[in-house]
Amino acid sequence: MRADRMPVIVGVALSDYPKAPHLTSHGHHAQALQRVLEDSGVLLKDVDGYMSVGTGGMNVDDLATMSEYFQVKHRWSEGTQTGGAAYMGFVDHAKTVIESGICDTVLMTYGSDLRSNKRRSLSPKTNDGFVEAPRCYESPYGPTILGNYALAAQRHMYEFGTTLEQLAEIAVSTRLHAGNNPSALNREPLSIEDVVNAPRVADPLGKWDSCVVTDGGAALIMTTLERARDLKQDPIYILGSASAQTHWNIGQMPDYTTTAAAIAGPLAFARAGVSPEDIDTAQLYDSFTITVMLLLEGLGFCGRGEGGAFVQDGKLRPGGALPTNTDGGGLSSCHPGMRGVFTLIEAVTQLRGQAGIRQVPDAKLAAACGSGGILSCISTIILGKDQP
Amino acid sequence: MTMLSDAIAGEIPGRPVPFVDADNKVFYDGCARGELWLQRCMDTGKFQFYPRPCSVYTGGQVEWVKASGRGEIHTFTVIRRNYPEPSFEALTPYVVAIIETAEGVRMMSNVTGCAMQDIKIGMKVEVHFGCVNTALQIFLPFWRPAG
Repeated sequence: MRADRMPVIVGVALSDYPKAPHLTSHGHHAQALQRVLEDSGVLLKDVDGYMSVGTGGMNVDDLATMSEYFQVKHRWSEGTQTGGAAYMGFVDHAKTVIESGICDTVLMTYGSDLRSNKRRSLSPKTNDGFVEAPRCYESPYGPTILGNYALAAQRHMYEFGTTLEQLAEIAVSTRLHAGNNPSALNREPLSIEDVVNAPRVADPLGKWDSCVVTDGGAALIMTTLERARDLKQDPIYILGSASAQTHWNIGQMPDYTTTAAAIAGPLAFARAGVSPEDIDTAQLYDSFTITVMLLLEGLGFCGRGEGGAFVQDGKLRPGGALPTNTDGGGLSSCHPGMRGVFTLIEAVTQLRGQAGIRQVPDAKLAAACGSGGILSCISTIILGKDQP
Repeated sequence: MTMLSDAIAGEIPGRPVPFVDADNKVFYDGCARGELWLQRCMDTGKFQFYPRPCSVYTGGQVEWVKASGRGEIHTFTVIRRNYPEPSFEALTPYVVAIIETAEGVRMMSNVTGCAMQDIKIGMKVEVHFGCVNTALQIFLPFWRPAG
C-alpha cells in the first residue's frame, strides 16, 4: 500500500441525543451529516463511498433509501446488517476499499428515533401472528432481549463463579463516566448495592444491567492520508480491524461464555501490532453488563472467565487503568438500537483530545468493539493518534 | 415457593406461532404426534438443530431421526417482566432455558412442572408437548424434570 492511500478517520459527529422529539430517524442521519461535513471540512460532492444500514422493522433507513435521501453519488456502497457491529464492520471493509483505490472518501450515517417515536418497537410480533424460521424456534417461548443475554450471564456465573457485584461494577463504572458527559441520559451516581438490589428483570440480570433506550444518530468520514492533509482535523489512524461471527440467534450460540471477540480481537490486535495492555481507553458495546465482560475476555484484556476479577478493582472507571465507555456508554448515555458507531466516535474523540472533562489523559491508542445480534457478530477496530 | 405453571405450554393469545414450512414440517408434525424429531448429518453422524435441508458440518445430506426426548438444562433465565408483550407478561415469572438434548443439540424452550427454586444448570429434563394453536394443531416441545 502506498503511504498516501493509508485510510484514516477525518470526521465524526453525533446528532442530538438522548431525547430528540424534533428529529425523525432520517433527521438524525441528516443532522449528523451536516455536522460531520462541518467537523471534517469534507464536501458532500467529494464523497464517493457510502455506508449505512437500516434496522429492519424499526426504521425505513436502509442503505438504498438513505443513499437516495442524500443523493450520494457513490461508486461503492456497503450495508451489511450485523446489528450493533455493523458500523465497526463498515470501517473494517472501507479500510480495504480506500487502500486499494476503489474510492477515496467514504461516509457512514446512522439515525434512530427509538425513544421518541412510539411506533418503533423491538418486539418480535408480526402482523398475522406467525413467526418464520429460524425465529419460530425461539420467540414462541417468550424470551426477551435482556433474557437472551441473561442466558449467557447465568452460564458465566455457573462456570466461573462470577458474581452479581462484579457485573454491577460495569454499570457503576459506566455511570461514573456518564457523570462527565453533560448529554448522557442517566448521570446520577449509582452504587453496586443499587444495581444488585434493583428488581430482577430476567435472572440473573436486573434493571441497571440493561442499556437505556434513547434517540440518536452519528456520522463518520474516512479518506486517504493524502486528502486528510487538506482537511480540518488531525487524522486518526486505523491500525487494525477484524470481524467474526459465531451465530445470530441466541439458541445457536456455540459456547455461551465465549463470543467471536475471541477471534476478531486477537486478529485486530495482531494486524495493529499492539497488545491489549497497550490500550489507553476501550469503547466496548454495552447493551448489557455481561456484554462488556464477555468482550473484555474475548479481546484478551483478561483471560476467559476472568472478567469478574478483572473489572472489580475499578479499572474501567474514570482514572482507572482502562477507562471504558468514557461517554457513559449504552448503559447510561445513549443506545438508540444499534450503538456500534457511537463506540467509534467516542474512541476518535478521545484520541483527538477533544473529550473535555472526560478526556483520558494522553490517550494514544483506543480499542473499539461492536457486538451485534445477541453476542453474535463482533467487529474490533484498533485506532491510533500517531501515524504507524 | 413458586411452582412453574404448565400454562406457558398452552395456547396463549398473542403468542407468536411458528410458521410451518418445507424445512421444518417433519419437526412440527412430530411434535403434534408427541415425538421429538431431529436431523442427523449423514456424513458425520452428528445431530443438528434447527432444521435445515443441509448439514451444518459438511454441507451434505441430512436424515430425520426420532430423538430420545431427554436432555439437561444448559443455561436458563427467569423472565420476571416481559414488556411490551402483554400475553407473556401475564405468565411471569416463567423460565426460558437452553436445553441440551441427549443427542447433543441445544434448543430454547420453557421448563415447567417444578418449583422455580429447583431449576438449575445440569438438571435432567424430559420433553413434553403443548398445543399453542388449536385451530392449526401446532404443538411445541417443552421440558420438565425427568421422571
